[in-house]
Amino acid sequence: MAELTAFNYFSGDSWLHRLDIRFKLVIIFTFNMISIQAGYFELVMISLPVFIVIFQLKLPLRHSLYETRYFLYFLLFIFLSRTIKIDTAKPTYLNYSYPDMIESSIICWRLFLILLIGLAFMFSSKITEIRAAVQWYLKLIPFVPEKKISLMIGLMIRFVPDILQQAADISEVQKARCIGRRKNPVYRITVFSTPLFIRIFGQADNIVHAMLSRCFSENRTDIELKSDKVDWMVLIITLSYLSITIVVNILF
Amino acid sequence: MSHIKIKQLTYRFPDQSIGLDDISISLGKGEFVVIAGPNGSGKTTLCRHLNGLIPVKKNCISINGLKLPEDVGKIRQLVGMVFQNTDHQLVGQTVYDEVAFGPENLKLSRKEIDQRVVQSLRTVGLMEYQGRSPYTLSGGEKRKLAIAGVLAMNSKILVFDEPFSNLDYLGTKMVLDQILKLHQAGHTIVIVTHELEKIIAYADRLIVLEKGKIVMDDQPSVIIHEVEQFGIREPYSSKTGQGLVKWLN
Repeated sequence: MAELTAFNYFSGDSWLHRLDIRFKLVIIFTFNMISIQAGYFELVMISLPVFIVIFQLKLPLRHSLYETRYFLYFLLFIFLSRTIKIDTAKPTYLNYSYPDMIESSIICWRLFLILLIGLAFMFSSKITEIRAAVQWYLKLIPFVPEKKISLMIGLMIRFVPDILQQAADISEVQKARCIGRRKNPVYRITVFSTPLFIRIFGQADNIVHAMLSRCFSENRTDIELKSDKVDWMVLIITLSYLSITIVVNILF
Repeated sequence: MSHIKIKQLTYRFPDQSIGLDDISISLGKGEFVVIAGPNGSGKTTLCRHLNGLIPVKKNCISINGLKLPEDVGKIRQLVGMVFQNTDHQLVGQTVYDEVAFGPENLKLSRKEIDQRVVQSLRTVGLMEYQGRSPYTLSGGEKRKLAIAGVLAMNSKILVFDEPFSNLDYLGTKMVLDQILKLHQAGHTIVIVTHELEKIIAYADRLIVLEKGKIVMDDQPSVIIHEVEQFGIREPYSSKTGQGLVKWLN
């Protein structure tokens, strides 16, 4: 598994790497919430810091976009399906309008921004930190088994790159044996998913054994979460920036 | 006094096929033991028992006076296991996190965890990689990382399941050298393998398994000429009358 997937953590010394994970979660959540409902102006204002952060992180954007290409195809599909309308009254049958195009591009832009924000977050955050932050937030809610939930989330995130890697391996092996010549999609899905599930369950078993052999239990030393002035400053500046963006958008 | 005592251990797989059949062994402190056998002979099943990963009947296995299954937690700490496929063993996202995983499970203080991680990484020579992703290491380095992971738990008995599989020449040298250093430092070493060439000259004892049964158990020099009848290749040096030549020479 020498090749890392787009959603892996990469160690680094950027300010996003150093930012307290609890603050990072709040900022990411706020960015995503605003992105979902954003118009053109807000999208430009949000995209700007997101691209700066990605540039600063030295995130391998080309590789990451290649890895997430199916999501990008999905965005293209959304764009085309919302833009192009079938009109039997016209000789070309296909029809499109600029307002539809603008609306579709906004929707795709929003989803693309959420993808970029997610990539930047995963690139700069360790699973152990994410788990600790989730645990810290859940602790504030009574009667919630915060350790169990954070453990489940941690394991799920840990497992995603493994699943992607297994899928890539199986796909390569099948390509090498001319799966491309079989045109039946049901057959292709069946022969792909069966070994994938077997390998995923096998891998899950192996991870469980590896963790048990090192005395894994729910009750373990958690990582220490520390925040300082810089974290608070970043939070205040980011939230102020987003608030001003929203206010300006409403006023003008 | 025996360090590890296994008494009449029998194990059947869920399909009722035999995994282990009436195994009894005693291993001494600081011993260097090689457990060999062809595929399906029960080697991996046996070493998983040593770590308490497979449920066992009472009084079958005792390690340092601790008994399975009652003291499974303490035994897992005492017996460090390095799996055949190191990728399966990796849990942390950085080399540091990977080594810290065990001590964190032991509920040690952060200071103690830091100390153990640094010491273990220094022992295996991976200190400068502590911020890197384990997946970017070479095969030999990954196996050294797995060793550091069990050393950080202060394991006195180290069980290696096929430690040289999928390693190139340099990786094999790196891991073998590390194993020998750990043995010199006083650890009890148990190596499970089907390929004796690289390791047997360093071992104090060779145990051969076939179909879940112990078929030979003696000093390597005494039984090495007879191993081929059990599907294990006799080392070239032994076959050509040069005795057991050390692989690192």
